[in-house]
Order: sequence, then structure tokens, then C-alpha cells
Amino acid sequence: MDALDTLLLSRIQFAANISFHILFPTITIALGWVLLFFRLRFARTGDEKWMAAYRFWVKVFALSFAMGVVSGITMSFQFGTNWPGFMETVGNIAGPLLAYEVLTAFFLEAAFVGIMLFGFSRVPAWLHITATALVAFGTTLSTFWIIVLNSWMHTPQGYEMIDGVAHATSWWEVIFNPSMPYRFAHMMLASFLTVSFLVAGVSAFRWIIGDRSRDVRVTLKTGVAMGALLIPAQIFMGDLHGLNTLEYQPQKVAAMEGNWQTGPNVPLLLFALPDEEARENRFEIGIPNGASLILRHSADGVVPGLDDFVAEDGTAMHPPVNPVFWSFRVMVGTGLAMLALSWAAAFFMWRRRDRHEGRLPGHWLAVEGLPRPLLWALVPMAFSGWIATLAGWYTTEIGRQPVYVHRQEDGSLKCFINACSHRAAIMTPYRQGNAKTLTCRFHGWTYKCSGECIGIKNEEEGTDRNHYNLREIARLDSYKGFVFGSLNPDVGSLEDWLGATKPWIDIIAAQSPDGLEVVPGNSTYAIDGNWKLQCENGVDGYHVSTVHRVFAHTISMRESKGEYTGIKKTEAGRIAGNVATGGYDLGNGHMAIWATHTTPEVRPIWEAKERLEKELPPAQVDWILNRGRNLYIFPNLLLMDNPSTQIRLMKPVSTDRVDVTVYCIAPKGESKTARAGRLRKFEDFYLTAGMATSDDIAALEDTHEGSLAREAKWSEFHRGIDCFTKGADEGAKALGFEPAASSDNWDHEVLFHGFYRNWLKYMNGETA
Amino acid sequence: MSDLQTEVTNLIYRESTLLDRRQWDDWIDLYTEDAVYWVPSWANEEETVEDPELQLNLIYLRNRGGLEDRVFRIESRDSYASVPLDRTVHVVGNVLIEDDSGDEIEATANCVVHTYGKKGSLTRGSLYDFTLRRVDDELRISRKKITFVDDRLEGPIDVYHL
Repeated sequence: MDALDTLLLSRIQFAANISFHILFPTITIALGWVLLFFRLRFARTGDEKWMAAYRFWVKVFALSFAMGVVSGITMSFQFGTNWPGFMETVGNIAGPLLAYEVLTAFFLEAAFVGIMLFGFSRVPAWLHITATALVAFGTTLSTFWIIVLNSWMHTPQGYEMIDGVAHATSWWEVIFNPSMPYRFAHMMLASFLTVSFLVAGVSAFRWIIGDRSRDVRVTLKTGVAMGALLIPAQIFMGDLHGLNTLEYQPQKVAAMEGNWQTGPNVPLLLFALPDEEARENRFEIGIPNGASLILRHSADGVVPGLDDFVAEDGTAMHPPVNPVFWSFRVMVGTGLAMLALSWAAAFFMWRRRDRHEGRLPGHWLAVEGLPRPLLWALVPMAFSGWIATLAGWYTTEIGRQPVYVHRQEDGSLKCFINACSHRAAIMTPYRQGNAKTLTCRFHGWTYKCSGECIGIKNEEEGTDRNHYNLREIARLDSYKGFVFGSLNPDVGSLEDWLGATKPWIDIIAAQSPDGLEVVPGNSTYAIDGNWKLQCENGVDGYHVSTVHRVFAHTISMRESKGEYTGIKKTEAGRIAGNVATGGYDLGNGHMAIWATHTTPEVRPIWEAKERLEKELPPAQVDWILNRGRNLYIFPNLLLMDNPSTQIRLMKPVSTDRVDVTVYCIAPKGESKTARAGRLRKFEDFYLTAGMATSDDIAALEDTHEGSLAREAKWSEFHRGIDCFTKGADEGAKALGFEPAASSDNWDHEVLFHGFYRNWLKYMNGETA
Repeated sequence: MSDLQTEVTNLIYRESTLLDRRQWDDWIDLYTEDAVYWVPSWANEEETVEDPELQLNLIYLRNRGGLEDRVFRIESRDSYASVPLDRTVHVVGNVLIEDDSGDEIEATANCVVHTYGKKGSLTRGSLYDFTLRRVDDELRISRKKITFVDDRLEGPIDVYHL
């Protein structure tokens, strides 16, 4: 019993180790190639999303690689400590094979993985690609040698036993032993499938928790597509591997099938309880002739039975039946589940692509630019509702540099400097449009939507067209459909930049299951004043009860007459400031104010109350329904969610002039009544032809004029300084954002401190 | 010139004169109770929006009450943008009767509005589409669509700027 205990313990230890170890190579083997795919896509398209995918997954690769090495080393010790007898017998074969693995494959991986991880911005692209390819090749070569050894242990050949020790007679035969090709292919496919589902699963999770980075989209697609394509191949390969096993290890097949007696017409057992003592199955559900059909491809095919593998003394010469029988069923079951899942996912993604990307791909946002001093800041840029179809483009500016955003054939977005490479004429005849290629109207040079120069009129011999590709801007990213760009490559991630504003954007984006859309029509107006006055004004609660007093009176007059139908009540009380209000310094120069609604039921979103309550956490619903909100995102975007909803983009033209463009943004699929109500409120209040924004503009222009008085050069921003508290208040905690400071009154003006501090930081060049 | 042409032209001239001379109540009286006053926004460089109900307009008032709101605000002297009030001169021309076969008359006209205010002098243009109806023997405006050709708007825009 002592000997058996040692054996059992050794088995348990080795099994635990190898089970743990195999998790990691299974990931790295295929992930190396997937990374190479991402890297090559990036090299080809130049689209940053592929590099984002690479950067995310190379970390997973590195971690798995490290874990694989560490857990693998203990296994090589165990070859000696746990299996000294076996190693003494097969050491002449196993030793060299393991050495080949280390020398040819592991060294290759270990040498180049560093370049993969840290070399992207330090080595030329070709070297980084080569390093990625060598590491991927290394992992596969590593797999090859290990599988060679493993297969040889199952189907040994090419050796002779001399004094109880195996000596290789033909390395060729050792390596290409009969089960090796099947096992190798099966393992490679298994790894690719694991990685498909890992990538798809992690991406799906990121998507669920609201991560809308563009790389999530492509990695989700890559994972699902790879899984859907490879699982049939794996089923086919598994069948071949099974036939090979039938030939060389019939006892194993018998155990897999739970078949005791050799014979024809063997059923395929879906469920059974094999009893090794009684040498029979205690309970069976099977498909008649199934096993014969699968293994022999004929209903009366003979399938080996376990009883054929019993020694004369009664010792079983076949593997323990239950573990093999059940693990085989788990494996096949998993394979079928993978088939169902990946095909279903692929189908739905394909259908959605058909419906959405073919016509209206989501809801993105383009926001216009900044004045020259702030060029290097992260700038809001393009709403993709405007870039509705594939190959749609939308022009805007970053600062005063003209750019346009062009949807690529794969649905991604690219943003180019809007100037022909030849003589710099603007490429786009309209503010937005749709075309797979753009031809400069001056001298006729033509560019693909990818920016590639594909046509030069009367091209001269030896011209390198690549030299004339359009110039992409440094950074482009989007959050919940709102697209942001930067001319400066050295800016942090968009999500870090948005920080505490994200939950504010989330509760706008969450208002319709179909997303948001920009209602047709917009208005641009010029303000003769500094752009920062407009930024302040969007989140200035203090002016409402004076500047918009007349609006409240006008609306009260209208409502008292009761004759102006078709538009719901406006809350004059809210304008007078008789409700709970508050403000936030959201950090990074972002700011926000809110005011409660006394009659939230007049808001257009009220019709979605029931659905919102079902789908969203109560705090989000409360913020959506009961608080009117103005959110300012540094430097030039305002999002307003009040009885009407607005995107307001500021384009500073000079220190004393800013162009403002306003759009009505609305949940897709809302009722016509809600949409009309939303628009009428918009027209009443927001436009320069409306009855409130026009008064704001006049006040801002006066403020600018007064600010030119040098004798009185200081503005007063002290209001609320004593009750402005650091960090989150109850409302912020409930919604889940961390402001720099909170205020319980929108009359307070200290939230502007954060804005001006951030502005000053940029002006002084203290930030990238 | 036909009597109708004269009557239509005079009505349109009258409206401009009343606006320039700030006779707001008389101006409103030119409109029927159910008059629609519509200034579409531009959907792109070449087209305005077409469905005032479900698209964004610069102004869309669905009865005379909307005009009364505007006048109330102007007369309150509490509107930042309307104090001091811009001076305006409307010059209307090209008055054409497009259709007088039905109960209502369709007419078009062009208008150039010279404005003087805080931003100095501005000159802007509009295309008018009128629907006119006879009420108690007087011709009244039952619908006015103003296609304001400016897209990037300088300063506040109110009914007297258009």
C-alpha cells in the first residue's frame, strides 16, 4: 500500500501541475498568432484600434507566457522526482526532445518576447512584426516538440529496447510517430479555440461593463469569427484523431465509448454509469449504431470492447474507464457548445452588421475644435450618426486645423487633415457626405477612404504615391458614440481624460436601447466674446434667475392663456431657482450643474420610465428622470439633458470670437409626441432665434466687452467657496462618479476654478 | 396690376412696415388665429429641413400664441437681447402670387433686412412663402415660412430680424 500511496501521490502532484501548466501554453500558442494578426492589421491599415487590441492582449500573452514557464519548470523536475523509473527507460528519447524544445523554441520565445512587449515605440515596425512572428512561431515549435514526445509515449516507434532502456533507432520515426500529426493538429486547434473564446469572452465582458473602446469591437469580432470558423475544423480533426486512436489505442477508444464487448452495431452513449467492478454500464442512454457509425462509418462496424483488454490474471490492461469516458463527454459537449455559441454569435453579429453598419452604425459624436493654444489637448470631434453609412465622412476642425472623419470599410473611423497632399485644397465639398474615395477638385488627385493616394492626374514616372497619402491625426477614440481626437500623440487615454464625466455620458447614452441620434437640422451662431465665457455659461446656474426670468414669465403667460397646445408645461419654478440644485468640479477642467424637476413627467424621456426602471440601477434612473443636467467637457463640448437635449460645440475663432453649433440629440425610437415636445422646447429656449439662448449671447458679449476694461481686470468667482466640499456628495456617490469638489447650489461659481486651473495648466505648457 | 396683386403686395409691405416701426399688436393682427410661423434650419449646405414637427427649426410657432410670446418678451423690456432693441429696415420685393385658385392664396416674396445694433450694421436676406386667407373680408396671413439664407448667425435673431 505504501508503494501505491507514493504512486498515487506522484500522480496527483503531476496531474495537478500539468493541469495548471497546460492552461497557459494553451493561451500563448494561439495568442501569439492572433497578436501577429493584430500587428499586421495595424501595419496595413494604420488604424490605432488594432494596436490597442495588440497592447491589451500582449499583456495577457506575457502573463500566460511567464506562468507557463514557471509552472513548466516544476514539471521538468517532476520528470526526475516523480517518474525516475519511467525516465530511466525512455530518457534517451524524452531527454533530447525536451532539449530540442528548450533550445529551438523556448529560447526563441524568450529572446523576442521582450521586443514584443516593450519594443513597439523603440524598434522599427518591421522588427516589431518580426519579433511577434518569431515568438508566435516559437510557441508553435514548442508545442510541436512537446506533442512529439507526448504522441511518442502513446504510439512509440523508431526505437529498440536494450537492457530495458529505449534507444532511438530512427529519430525521423520517433518524431513522426503515427499519432503525432493528429495530436498536433488537435492541440493547435484546441489552443486557437481557447484563445477565440478567451478573446471573445473578455471582449464581451468589456462591452457589457460599458467599455466601448474600438479595440473591443474588433477583438470581439476576431474572437467570434475565429471560433466559428475553427470549431468545425476541430470537429473534423477530432474525428480523424479518433480514427487514429482506434487504430493504435483501441482500448482507449473502448473506454471513451464505454463499450465493454467487441462487436458491431455499437450505440453512441450519451449518458452511462460505467461500473468497472461489474464490467458493465449500469445505466445507458445511447443512439443506436452511433459509435459504429462514427468510428467505422458504417452501422454494423465493429467497435473494440474493453473486455478484450484484460490480462489472464484479470488485471485490466485498459485505462480507468470513468475518467476517460467522462472527460471525453465533457470535451465533446464543450465542443458542441462552442459550435452553438460561436455560430449564434457570428449570426447575430452578421445580422446586426447588415442592419446597422450597412445603414446607420451607432451613434457617435463629432465635436469641433479648439483655438491654437489648445491644439494639443484632447478634442471632442465627430458624431457618427452623421457618418451614417460606411464610407461616410464628416468635416470638422481641431483648433483651426481642418480635419474630416471618414468611416472605413470595416466600420472603424479614421480622421485626416482635410488638405490634399498636392496643394492643400480642402478635400470635402460639403460638411458631410458619403464616398469611398475623395477626389480633390483642384487637380484631381484621388484618395481612398483609408487616406491612401490612389490617383494622380497625368502621373509622372517613378512617382511614389505612398508619399502622398493623407495625413492622419495623432489620436482618435470614442466613448459611447462620442468621438474625440487629438493632434498631439502624447495624450493619455480618452477614458482617463473623461474621468468623472463618464457616468454623466452613460446616463445620456443609456436612454434608448437603440442608442442616440442627432435630429436633422442644426444651427451655428457666432458670439463676439471669448470662448471660455460660453464654457462657463453652459454650467452657470446663477444667471438663470435673472437672464431667463423673462423666459419664465413668457412661458407662464403662454400657459395661463392655455391656448398654445401641443407642448408640455415648462417649469418656471426651476428657472426661478426654487428647487434643489448643485454643481460639480469634475476634474480635468470638466464641470457640471443640475437642478431637480418638480414635474419630471413633462420631460420627453418620461415615457421610457418603466423600461429605464427595469434596465438601470435606481440611482441612474433618478438622475435621468429627476434632474436636469448640463455637462461641460473640457475644452469645447457641452451636453445638456433637460426638457430638451443638446450637443453644443464651441469652435474658438480668435480670442474675441467663438462659433457655436448646436444639435438636438435624442433617443432613437422615442414617440413622435416626445420627439416633437423635445424639439419645441429646444426651439423655445436654446437657439439664437430662441427666447433664452439669445439673451445669454447678449450677456456674454457684454461680459467680454466689460472684461476689456484693464482698470478692473479681476472677475469674481468666490460664490460658494465656504460650502464647496472636496470629493463626492450623496448624489455623486449614488451615480458613481468622483468629482474634485461638490456644491449644493448651482448659484455657486467656484466650480469654474477647476476649469480655469486646467486651462492655465495647458496655457503654461504644464501638461502634455 | 390686378386688384389681388395689389392687395397681396400691400399686405406683405404692411407687415414689414409694422415690424420696422415696432407696432407689434398691429403686426400680430395681420395673422389668423391658427397661423403657422416657420423658420426652418439648414439640414446641409443646400437644403433646409422639411418636416417642422420632427426636425429642428430656428423658429416654429404653431399658432398666433407663439407670436404673442415673442411680443410679450420684447415688450417686457426684460430680455437682455432685446434691450436696446435693434433697428431694422425691411425691403420687400419680388412679390408673386403663385396660386389663387383655392380658398387660400399662395404667394412668395424676397426680403432684405438691414439691421443696426450692437454688432453694427448687418444685412441679411430671406425668402418668404406666404399662405393668405380672407377673414371678415380682410386678407390675413395663415402661414409664413421664412427661409433665412444665413447659416452662421450673427447675434440674436428675433421675429423683427427676419
